[in-house]
Amino acid sequence: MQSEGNAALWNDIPTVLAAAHELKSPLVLIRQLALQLEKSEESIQAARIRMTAERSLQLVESLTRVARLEDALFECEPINLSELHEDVVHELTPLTLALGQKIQPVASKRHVVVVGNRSLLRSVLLGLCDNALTHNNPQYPIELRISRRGDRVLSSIRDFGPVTSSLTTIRRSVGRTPQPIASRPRSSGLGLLIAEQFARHMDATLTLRRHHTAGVTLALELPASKQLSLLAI
Amino acid sequence: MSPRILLIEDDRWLADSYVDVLDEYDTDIAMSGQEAIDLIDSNEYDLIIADIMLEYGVVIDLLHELQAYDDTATIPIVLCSSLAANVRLADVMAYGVVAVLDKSTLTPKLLRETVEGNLRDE
Repeated sequence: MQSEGNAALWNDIPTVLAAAHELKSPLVLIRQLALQLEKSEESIQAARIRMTAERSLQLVESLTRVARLEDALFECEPINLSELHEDVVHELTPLTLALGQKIQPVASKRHVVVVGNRSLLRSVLLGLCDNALTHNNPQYPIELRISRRGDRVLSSIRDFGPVTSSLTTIRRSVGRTPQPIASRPRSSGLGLLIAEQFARHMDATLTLRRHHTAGVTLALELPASKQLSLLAI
Repeated sequence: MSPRILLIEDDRWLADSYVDVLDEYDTDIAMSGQEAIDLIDSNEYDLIIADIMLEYGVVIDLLHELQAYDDTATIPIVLCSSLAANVRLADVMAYGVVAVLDKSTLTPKLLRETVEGNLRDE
């Protein structure tokens, strides 16, 4: 029986893993060929092919990680969240520019240190920002914000795209009906479900807030590292 | 004479693209472990670039074989794979591996630099 807290998609992890592995090889090849085209012709189309392959590879890599979450060791450690946000924004700069978008980190007054797995957290933030880049109205910058809530820390990404379905609806639909999310036709919500799996593994939660005006805020609520936050002030 | 490289990669198009990147070297392509052994038997290589998953097996069997002979045990090995995230260099150094490259993020510059920095000393 499928519980509401766990999407139908994860019922068949071996198939998901096999599909992800199968997809990797052609994507690696497409990316490599595009890299060579870029070098020889400085073609904007080649750059777009390469970036599209890289985004797909990121998704495929995350899928393989979901399948390994139970077996592999993803240890948690203190992480400076501001630095990680800057790192993510820097990594996404070429794609952000190519899409005519802007990601605006809303700086925290002090360093905030959270407890999590650096690699998984980075993947979650890259995935959520990629989601925002896909759907945001380029007239408004995407906001990447840090805020405190007691002994928890919120890392949130606010976009100004169409309002999406709730996480509960997405959990119910992905893996059962091959339908895109209403109003965001390029997305099935798979990236959000992957982010949710990674979050659970770090004792974090993913929430989705729909705004009346436009867009959504996806927030990752993480445990704060109290001692190291004090040291880092 | 250009340094000689053996590239073990079962995707021919991907192998060709790496050969283009490494155009200053004399590069042979082997598309299977057996083909690689045949080439190693009849040539002297300054470096081997190998995928991890090969047709009919994994590259570790081949690396074991290379470590068994004095003349092949010193050939530097660069692993280049989509599974690189699962491989720690420290765990495979005993097999002569000097670098592990992730195909998903590999750039021509990184490939050239890795080869240039790890060629076997004469």
